[in-house]
Amino acid sequence: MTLLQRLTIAIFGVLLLFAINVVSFAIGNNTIRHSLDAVSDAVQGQLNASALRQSLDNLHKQLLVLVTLRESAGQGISAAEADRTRREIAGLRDLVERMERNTSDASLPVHGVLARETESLFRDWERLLLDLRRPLRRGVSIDELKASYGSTERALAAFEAAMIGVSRNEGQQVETTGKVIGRITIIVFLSSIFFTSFLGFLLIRHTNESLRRLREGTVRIGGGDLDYRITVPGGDEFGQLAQAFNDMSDQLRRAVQEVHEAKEQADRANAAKSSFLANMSHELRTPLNAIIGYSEMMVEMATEEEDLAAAELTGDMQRILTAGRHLLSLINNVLDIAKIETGKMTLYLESFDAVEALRELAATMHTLAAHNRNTIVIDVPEGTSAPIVSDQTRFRQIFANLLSNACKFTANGAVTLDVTPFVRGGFDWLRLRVRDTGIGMTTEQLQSVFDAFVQADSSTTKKYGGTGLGLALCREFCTLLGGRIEAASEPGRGSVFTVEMPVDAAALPVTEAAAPARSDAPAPERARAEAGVPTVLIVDDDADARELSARVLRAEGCHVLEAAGGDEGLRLARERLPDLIVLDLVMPGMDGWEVLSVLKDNEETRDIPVVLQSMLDARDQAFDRGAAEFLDKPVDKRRLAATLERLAPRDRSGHVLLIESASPARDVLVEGLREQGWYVSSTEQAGEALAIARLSPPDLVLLSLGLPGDDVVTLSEAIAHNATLRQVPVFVLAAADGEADARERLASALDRLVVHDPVALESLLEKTGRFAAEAPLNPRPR
Amino acid sequence: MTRILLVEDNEMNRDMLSRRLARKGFEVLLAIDGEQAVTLTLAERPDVVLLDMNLPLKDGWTVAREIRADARGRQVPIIALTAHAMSDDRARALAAGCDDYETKPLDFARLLGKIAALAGARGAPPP
Ligand SMILES: Nc1ncnc2c1ncn2[C@@H]1O[C@H](COP(=O)(O)OP(=O)(O)OP(=O)(O)O)[C@@H](O)[C@H]1O
Ligand SMILES: [Mg+2]
Repeated sequence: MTLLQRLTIAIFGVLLLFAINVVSFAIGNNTIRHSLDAVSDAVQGQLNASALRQSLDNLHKQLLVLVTLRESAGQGISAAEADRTRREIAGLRDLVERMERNTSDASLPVHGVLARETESLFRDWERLLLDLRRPLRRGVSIDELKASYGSTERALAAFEAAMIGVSRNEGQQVETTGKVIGRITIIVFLSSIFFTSFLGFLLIRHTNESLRRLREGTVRIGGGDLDYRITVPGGDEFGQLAQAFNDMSDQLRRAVQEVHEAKEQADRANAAKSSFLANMSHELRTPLNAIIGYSEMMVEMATEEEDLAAAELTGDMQRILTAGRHLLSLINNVLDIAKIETGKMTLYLESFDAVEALRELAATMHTLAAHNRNTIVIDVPEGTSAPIVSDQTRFRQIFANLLSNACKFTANGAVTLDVTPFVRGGFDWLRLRVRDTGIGMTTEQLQSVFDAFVQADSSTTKKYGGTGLGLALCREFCTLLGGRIEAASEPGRGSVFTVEMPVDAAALPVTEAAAPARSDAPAPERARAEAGVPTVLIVDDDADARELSARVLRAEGCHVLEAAGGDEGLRLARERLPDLIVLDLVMPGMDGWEVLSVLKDNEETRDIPVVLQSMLDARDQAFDRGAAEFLDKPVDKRRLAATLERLAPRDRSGHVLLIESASPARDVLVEGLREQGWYVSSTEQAGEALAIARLSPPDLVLLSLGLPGDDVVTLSEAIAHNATLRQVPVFVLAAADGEADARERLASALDRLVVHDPVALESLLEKTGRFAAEAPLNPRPR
Repeated sequence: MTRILLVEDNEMNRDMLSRRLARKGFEVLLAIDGEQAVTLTLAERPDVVLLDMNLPLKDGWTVAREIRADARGRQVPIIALTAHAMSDDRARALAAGCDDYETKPLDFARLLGKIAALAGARGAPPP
């Protein structure tokens, strides 16, 4: 119940009690008024009755006197006297009649008796009066007269008694009614006081309790106990507030967790890099030591021994060569890693025979295999060929490392290579496996062997050498070639490395780097539809997850469409034909599988690559059903970006001109911009910037206020006066503090100015990414 | 003649250095891992031990400590050789009981000077 409902109920309760009070008071009052009326009638009746008794008594006595007089003196009465008496009688009749009006219904019969008796008395009296006018005629006797009067008197007495009864009864009634009303009033008053205070008490107690819990909760959550849950009874406003707090702490916890994980990851990466540097130093110095040592020795020999035969030196020269080559391969590996990390790896696709390539490779590995007395077996039926379109150099590099690892970590064993074709998602694939019977790896070691700079454990380096770059390179190359690599192993039993490669790397939606290198390959149709800005549709019921992916994609320069459910997703997919669909697997209603199958059944949407995202491990199923990629949830920013790059290549050849003094921060910015696909030219000199701008007009200018003041003003004026540059948006990078006047001078010179404080590089990159996504850029060959 | 025990796991470097030392008239004993290094040092008591620190089975620091822990090895001069060039490597090597320290790629002339100094201090005549 909400607080408002509680209050409403309390008010209604009090109002009801009030109404009871008013009604009972009104009813009681009415009763009392009626009773009082009756009492006054009864009193009036009594007064009338005694007046009547008085008059009757007088007349009766008068008439008795007259009768006695006539009997003794024989004398009648005068006409005037008879008349007067008759009038008196008529007056009395009137009185009796009036008395009826004051008589309550209950006493009417008593009055009836009285009326009847008086009437017969009055008749007797009138007859007597007639008699009295006629002398000596004997009519009504005194006795009769007395009897008649007597019964009248009794009736009158009965009437009086009735009136007294009525007035007493009604009096009592008034008293009781008054008492009852009083009691009701007191009871209702007391109970309403009780009721309101009880409700008030409940309300206050509930409020206090809720507030106490909220306070305690906020203190604990604020103190860092993010697992704490505030529980408040009832679903009222406090409950909602508590829920909001709980949600907030959930969110906080998630954010903290993320930050924590990111930090740990960064720490791990850092530690790996440091130990990589140490290893690199060791690995580079060892062959260098040999090269320099042998060379010095040969110089010595050549100067000291005059009759030295060239043949005596060849062995040492051979060793110098070997060490030099080893050094070269090390350096190449490091360069490859660096190229991949900065997105500069170029692939050259060509047709070749995979089996043939592997055979050649195995042949070159014989010395290495023999070193640990291993044999390399190519387990493919004689005459089998497996034509493939891929980058041959990278393909060989992958298997050279897998074979060299297998030989390195196996002694007196066998290294077996096999190749099996299979079909997935309508495409032909090859599965290539390298098995060995060597030392193997633990599950823990397996988890990170593909990470750059990681070796199974530090003793590996000492025992077997190497840099820990081989497998990292393998994975990157596999991904670049549209495939992937997996490892399985058991300590002491051996390892299996499985590589899956598309037979035609160009037929899959492939990397941007691969496409231009192969002129005869059919260009991916969908790519570059909208001036190089890919449209990506995100279908996910979880708004947070959607937002996260959307941010990553926007920062990558995509146009992002969002759908909160399967139906909406399908509609948008049909209407907008996006370049890529990122689809959540578990959704209420229509789930990801259904959406995927509808997409794949529809002619128009069939070819849109779909990236499935889920916390469930449904990788194989996803590929079987036609997904182009499967990503684990929660979304890994870098993997999503890499997937985007692979499946929906951008052609943002936008040119950004960065004018800032050289600093590590600038290098980071440049790198970020390049990752976004910008062509970046950077300079710290106003003159040079203008020259660049004239040669190759930029799509965006990033201008730092950190430059010497004159430069900034000259530049901004030059920009304002140049016809082409006037059109170009300028993001001004200003330090958060100071530089206010420079900013002002700028603002007057430039009207297309976006001031940006580059506190957070991320947000700046997000802006430039969005800018690239929204503005049409000048097409420019790279 | 000064006897030098060269402890080095890398084949090429072992070959190169042993031959260069032999050319300078030293008698060179070879060990290819940490265990051999300890056994040979204690058994042969060479005039100088050239000890690579990055060794299989037992690393150079352990080797140095074990040699120093044994009465027979307490006096044997040890020169640490490493291909790591981290600043604390030198301190670690000296702490483990080595007398001197050289990084690879080696400056051969300087190494010879150090060998002469250490072997001479111990009373063995330079070749
Ligand atoms: N076939 C295997 N058997 C057992 N362990 C392996 C095998 N392949 C790789 N590993 C483990 O994985 C680690 C990483 O291998 P990776 O090829 O990346 O580096 P490396 O071989 O040590 O160095 P590099 O290839 O740069 O010379 C190895 O150091 C080893 O510990
Ligand atoms: Mg390797």
